[in-house]
Amino acid sequence: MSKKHIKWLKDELPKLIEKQVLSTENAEKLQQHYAMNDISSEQPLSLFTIILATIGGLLIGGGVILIFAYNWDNIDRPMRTVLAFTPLIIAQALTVTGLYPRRRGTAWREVSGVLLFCAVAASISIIGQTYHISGDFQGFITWWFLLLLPIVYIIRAHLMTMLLIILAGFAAINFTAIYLLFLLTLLPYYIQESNKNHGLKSAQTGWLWVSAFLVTVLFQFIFSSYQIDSTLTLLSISTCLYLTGSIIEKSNAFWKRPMTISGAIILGGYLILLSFNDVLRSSTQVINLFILETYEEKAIAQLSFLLLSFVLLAYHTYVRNFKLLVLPCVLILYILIGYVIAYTSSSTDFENTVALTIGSLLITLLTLIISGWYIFLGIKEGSASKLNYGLIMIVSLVMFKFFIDDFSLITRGIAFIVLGSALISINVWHNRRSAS
Amino acid sequence: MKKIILSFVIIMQIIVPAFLVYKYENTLKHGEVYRFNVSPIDPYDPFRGRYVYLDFELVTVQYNGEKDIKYGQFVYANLDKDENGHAVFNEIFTEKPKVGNYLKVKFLGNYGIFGEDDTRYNIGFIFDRYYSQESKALKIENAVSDNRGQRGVDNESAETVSARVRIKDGLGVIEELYIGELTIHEYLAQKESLNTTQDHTK
Repeated sequence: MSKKHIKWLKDELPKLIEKQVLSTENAEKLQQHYAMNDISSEQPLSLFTIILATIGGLLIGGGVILIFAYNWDNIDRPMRTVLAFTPLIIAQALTVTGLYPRRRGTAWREVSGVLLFCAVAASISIIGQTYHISGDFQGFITWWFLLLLPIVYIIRAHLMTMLLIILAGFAAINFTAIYLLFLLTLLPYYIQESNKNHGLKSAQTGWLWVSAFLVTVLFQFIFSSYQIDSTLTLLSISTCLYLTGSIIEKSNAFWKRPMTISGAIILGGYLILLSFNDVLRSSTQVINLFILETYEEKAIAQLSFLLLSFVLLAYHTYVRNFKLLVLPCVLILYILIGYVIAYTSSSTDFENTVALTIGSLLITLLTLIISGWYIFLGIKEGSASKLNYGLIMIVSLVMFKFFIDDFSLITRGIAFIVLGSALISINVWHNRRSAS
Repeated sequence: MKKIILSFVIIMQIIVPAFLVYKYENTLKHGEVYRFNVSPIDPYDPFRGRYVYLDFELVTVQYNGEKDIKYGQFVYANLDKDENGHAVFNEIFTEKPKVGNYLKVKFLGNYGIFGEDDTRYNIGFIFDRYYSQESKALKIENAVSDNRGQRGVDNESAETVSARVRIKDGLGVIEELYIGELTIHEYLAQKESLNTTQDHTK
């Protein structure tokens, strides 16, 4: 039974006892059975109130920064130094009083978290302004993040954590790949929230974390001029996301599984793309695992993700989660095909073309197998998301093949009508079957 | 355990900015004074307010080391003073020099350096801003532009714009901006009183 329903029952018990629907003894047994004493009777704060309170905190924090940005030339340097510490000390006092002597409500923690987030940056900035130091922006962001990271795990303020994820993502995109570690240090927070089944909060944290992580990966490994095998990197990372998400995210709800869903979408999408000769050729032209001499951090990050994906594959094999090993086969197949094609690329054109054709056929076959597997799983487990995942993969594969290859408009039109009808009718049939 | 970690973090949040204050104050109190010629522009930093960007005159230095240096990497330049108190840079090193005063600078490659001397490189300074009150920053920039215009017409009457910087253990902190021998605030005050007098005369 969810916390929400247990809390409802706990609130209803006194009324049921009063109306003599339930005896006191039975009510106590129910309380013990559902561990109702562990649940606070404090009214949960509505999301609207939390958002308004934190906007208020942000406005206060932003206002303080703007006031100090006015730069009071008339105040001497020692006084300006004192003023630099004032917002920080106030924010710290609010944070500490939010925890001790007793833990205060959600709004207090959220507002104090946001204020502390702004105050740490403000104090360092004001000191830089006082001494005319432009400073090292990378150092400023690094210290800002590190001084707030432990607070995330102590006060567990949701909005502050979201701001810190954005800050970590900003650092990882703009500075070196090593700043991905900043994002990774916030992953345990999401794991803890996910385990507590906090619903909306954990989902928000998860989706924001995954988005920041993927955008960082795009900028660091795909859009950069670094000549690495970006396909291999992206496949490794999405395998890590998919397999890690399968361990962490226990819910069946689609929106509560950002890591699993993102990993699955990228792996499935790449599977379809690689089934085309041209894409496979251009991907396999850059098979450079390490260029350690010039880009150490990116090479180390790439190798780490590849190794982690193998560790996760080994783990799931060990615990016999064979169902989860189907989709990551694309990584294994790509490595095998990629390196075979890379080997034959220095051979004759004929051998290279044959190798490419065989490679893309194998990948197309794998796509069909995986799609069929997910359709089968979806029907067997009554899971609409798995069923539709398989259907979308097949439909996308067929559609793209029809777009690329030279079919007549009539043929394409008929094919799309058939596919669309199949998609709708299978879903309707599945829903009726689940309902019955 | 949580209390201990929280206490430690709160103390660190105060120590880090406090250490910065100590470092800069120490440099301002005990650092050696050098003059740097500048030509400012006036932009805005949303974190720290209105400032005057100090575009220092280009400095090239010798590098005789064997290690490769990347563009933007921090290195150390040893420096002396000329008869006017202006900083004169000699050479850059990848490690802190053991003798003499030195300044931490940015390596900017050898773009624009022509001729056969391939051991000279450009350097940039870390202190490149002068923060001022919003209304004053624009006046400072205008005051400097006026002097730059004058220099184009008549070099003798133009005033040199310079920054007085304290340097200690590689750290440079701007103490004040000067136009000629007047601080920027004295110069603006003088200019304002001259304008007021002229208005009364009219």
